[in-house]
Amino acid sequence: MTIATEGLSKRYGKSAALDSVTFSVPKGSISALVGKNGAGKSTLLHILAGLTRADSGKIQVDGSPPSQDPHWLSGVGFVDQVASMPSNLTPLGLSKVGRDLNSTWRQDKLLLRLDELEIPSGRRISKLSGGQKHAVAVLMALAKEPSVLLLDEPLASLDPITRRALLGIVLSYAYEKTAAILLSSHLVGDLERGCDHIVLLSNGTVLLSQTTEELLGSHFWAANSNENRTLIRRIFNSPSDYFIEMDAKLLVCSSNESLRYQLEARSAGLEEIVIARMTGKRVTAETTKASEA
Amino acid sequence: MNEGKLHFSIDRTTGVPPYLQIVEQAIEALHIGKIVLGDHLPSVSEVVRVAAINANTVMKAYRELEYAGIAKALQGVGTVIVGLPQGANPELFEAYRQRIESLLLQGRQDGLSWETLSHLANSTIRYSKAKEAVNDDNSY
Repeated sequence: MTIATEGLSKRYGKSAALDSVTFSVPKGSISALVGKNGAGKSTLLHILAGLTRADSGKIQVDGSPPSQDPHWLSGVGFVDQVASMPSNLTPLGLSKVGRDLNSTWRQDKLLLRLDELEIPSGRRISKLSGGQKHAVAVLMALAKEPSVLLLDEPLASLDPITRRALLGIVLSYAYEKTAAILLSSHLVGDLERGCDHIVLLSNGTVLLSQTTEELLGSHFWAANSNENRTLIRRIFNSPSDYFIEMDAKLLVCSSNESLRYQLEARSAGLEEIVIARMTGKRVTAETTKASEA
Repeated sequence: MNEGKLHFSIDRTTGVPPYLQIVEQAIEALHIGKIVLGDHLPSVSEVVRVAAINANTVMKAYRELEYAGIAKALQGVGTVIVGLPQGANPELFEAYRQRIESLLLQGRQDGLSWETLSHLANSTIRYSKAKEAVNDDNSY
């Protein structure tokens, strides 16, 4: 595992920003870290990047706990929401600084990528738009060829075309270098086709940490009727089976293939699954027993 | 050997899974002769970069094309077209495309709108299909 945490907790005063967060993502995976504002995404990324200390728990990023060791730092890229950079430099000037500090720096690739995003490498960073600045920060993090890249809301401030182009650059980099990418977002949205892993945070806890293939394979929609709910309850066969009532529909999670046919189910999208898990209440075999008792 | 002729575009609004869109677009490109035997499919990395999709999606599509005997991944070379989809006949396809095109242009000269022509083409296809089905039934 390239990124792994176990029982990671962090408090700010009396409130828990992260409460026993346990998840892991393998080498080469593209993971979307999703959750509402204040769910703990930024705190988690800052801890993984070694910029904030956790109160307790185990963390491994790129083979060791986050540190200020130059070797560890060279393998891990991080871009925060502000994407702060020296504004009097140009992207090219900044790249020269990066090249002096990192033996793995790829200025050639950086210039090609800037060109692809139509960002002038000779213009001062202070003269670039907010979205362009953010894109430059991501490209700088890529230029040092990290094996882990942590990006906090990398796409939020970009226009749709640049967003897609930058995501394409990041995804192909990850594929070529088998690098792990963890990027946060309010919603799955643009990441839906790009990511292969979802980590869903809510109030500082992990609600989901699964591959998109597993999620899409196990969730489906059915009509919300008494008949269907009874049928599902009877068929609950594993503790991980559940359904969530979403108005006229039921989001069902079950590996039972025949249940799909009996319910005339329709497949569910990633975004739909994430929203249902964020907003709805799960009914499992356990909660069903408890209400019958 | 040919590269860069084929660009996959993924439509996020249809319900068709992205990997299937790639498979279908490659097969269509072979049908119309846009790519031919011996051509390369774009590298996985290139498709990922241009379409901003996950590499697994592209690899799944290319595996499907391998199972179908259409493509073959060669170490250090890339994915090469080694077979044509069933019924593919690019020359015949091109001949028909030209005949249909000249008919459509004639229709335009006679004052028919593109919408009318499109409607006419579709309804003729439906009518001919239905007639063919009736004839098939009668032959038993």
